[in-house]
Amino acid sequence: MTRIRSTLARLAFTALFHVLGRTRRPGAVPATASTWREVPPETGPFEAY
Amino acid sequence: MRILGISALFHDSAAALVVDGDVRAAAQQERFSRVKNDASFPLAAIESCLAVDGSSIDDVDHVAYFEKPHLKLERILANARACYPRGQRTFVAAMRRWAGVKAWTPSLVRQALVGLSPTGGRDLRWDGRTYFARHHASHAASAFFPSPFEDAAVLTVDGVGEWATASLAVGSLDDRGVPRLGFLEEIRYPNSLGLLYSAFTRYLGFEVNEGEYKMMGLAPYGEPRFASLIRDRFIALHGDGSFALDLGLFTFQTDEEMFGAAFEEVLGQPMRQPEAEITEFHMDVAASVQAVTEQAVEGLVRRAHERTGRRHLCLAGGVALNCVANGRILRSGPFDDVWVQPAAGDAGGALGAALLCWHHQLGGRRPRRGHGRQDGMHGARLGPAFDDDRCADALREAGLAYEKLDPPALVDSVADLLCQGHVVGWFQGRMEFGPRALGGRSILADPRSSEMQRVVNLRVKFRESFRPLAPSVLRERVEEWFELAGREGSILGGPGEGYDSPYMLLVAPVATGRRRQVLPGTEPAGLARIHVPRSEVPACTHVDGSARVQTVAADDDPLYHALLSAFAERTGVPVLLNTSFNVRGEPIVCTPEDAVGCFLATEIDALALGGLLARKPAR
Repeated sequence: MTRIRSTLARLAFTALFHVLGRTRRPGAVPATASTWREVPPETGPFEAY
Repeated sequence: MRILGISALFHDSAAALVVDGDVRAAAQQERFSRVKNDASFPLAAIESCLAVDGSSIDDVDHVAYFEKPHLKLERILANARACYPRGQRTFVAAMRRWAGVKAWTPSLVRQALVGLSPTGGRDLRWDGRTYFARHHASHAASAFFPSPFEDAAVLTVDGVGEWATASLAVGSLDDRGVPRLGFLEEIRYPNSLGLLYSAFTRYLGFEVNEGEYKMMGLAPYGEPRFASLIRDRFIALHGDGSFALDLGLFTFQTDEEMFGAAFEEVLGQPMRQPEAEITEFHMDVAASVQAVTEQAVEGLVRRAHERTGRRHLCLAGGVALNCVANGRILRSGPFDDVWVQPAAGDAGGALGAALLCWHHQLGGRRPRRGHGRQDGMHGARLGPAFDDDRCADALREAGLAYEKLDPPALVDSVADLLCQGHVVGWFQGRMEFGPRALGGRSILADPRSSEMQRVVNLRVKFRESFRPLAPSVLRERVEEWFELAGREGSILGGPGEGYDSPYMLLVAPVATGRRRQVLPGTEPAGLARIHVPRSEVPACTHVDGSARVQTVAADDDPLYHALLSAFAERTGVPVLLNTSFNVRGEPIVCTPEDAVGCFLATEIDALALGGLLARKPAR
């Protein structure tokens, strides 16, 4: 149950995070600019996120 | 130390077992479930890998998964927000799928594996935590860790993983001799070369994630007259190798379909309906998309060389199955060597995740290999094998007579049958991992016959007549027959030595001296061009004079090498037509029973099932 609650909390947090518009936005890249991006830092190896 | 790798719940689910860094077994779920591109959790594939190793799930120390599912969910949520209010229906459908299964991947993996435990999970060595690798990290790992190189640029390109659609990394050994990947940069969704290719695949009436090979095979029939239109309107190729899609023309962000009316308007025709006639227009579109894709891949490769300065290149991701583009990269450079993971699609992610866990998480070294140019894939023969008793049972069950032969007699008999124009099912040893049949689950025929291409496509495989068939050739004689050569610094074959292509992932022109001139005015129009002999091996020469070459070395597959040698002794031609042992719409056969079923349902004339040879009455 703890794991389920933790996963649900993470999902809810993710949804909220995006609704608040504080993260990457697809389709926002101008067609003329380079689309290479830095690779984001790794989360923990046992993290599904 | 046993590590189980899993790829699941998208398409091409698979399992791989890595033991002390050695790739012990790998298989796709579709081969067992008999559902093409099966996306279900790969229980049967896992069981098969463990059976090959003689172990049980209790003996597995770590479990690795090929992507980070919650990061993928983040992308879906972000996409829905960015596109709102469009795409709500698709979003709801996606959320239903996620809420039902995918969001619970960590517990799903645990429950499924505990369910396989003979002790009900009491004696599991695994602590229940899954090692989650990023999707493109899994691809990159599957490309570099089993490659023959200690130092290489690593490029991955596919439709989409979590966010990345292409990534660039460098692989090298650290000061302890442990291979490591350093990730440099990536291109992110929705800019995707794989999705561009898939959208056009769909436009041409073929199935996404399945019909891409068909579009690639169709391309040489056409002229790339729409290439500049595609570059102008659909995808912008930048000088630094990156690219951007014109998202106004694609609907994959908001719809289950890849494109809408705007896409069709630009091309001037509606999409081709499946099974409708293929016209010159469709061939030209295929040629154009292929040309633009090759140009885009060349840009990525150039960037990989600039950023890494390495001499060798490793490739993976679905786009790396585009063997025409791979052949072009090898010929045009700047890399001395190109090595492509044979299971370059998502199935290979299972293997990549397991290897990433071994090298990055556990700090393990590569196991010792036989010789300097040998890779760690064991010829991609990583699936199950079946003994002659099981083969005999399958034949008896079907009421088929057979003779039992020792290997030299089997080789002689099959070579004789092939020389007489018979089509032979060749079921030997371990099943291949990846989409290509390499002499384990193959249908073989004489490539000298100009009729054979049509016979195999229409009467054996029941598939489109335009589909090209591929040659297997003795490794030591490849350069006599194909323009497949390395360069001065190549590890996998220098000038005059030919080049290793054991996984049939490089397309090369047939050698000039083996090609036949087509007289002016005799070239038919459209798909009928496939019937014009263009070389001494016309059944496996495509309309542009190219072939998707598999080189067979005696060290890698002695029996298949012996068969090619026996055919060469009789005919002077060290080449056989080799196509996968399946019919249209079905996965490649796995078991002797699958092979016998396919044999009986088609016009295959003889079946070499292990050491047993069964024949049908002559046609």
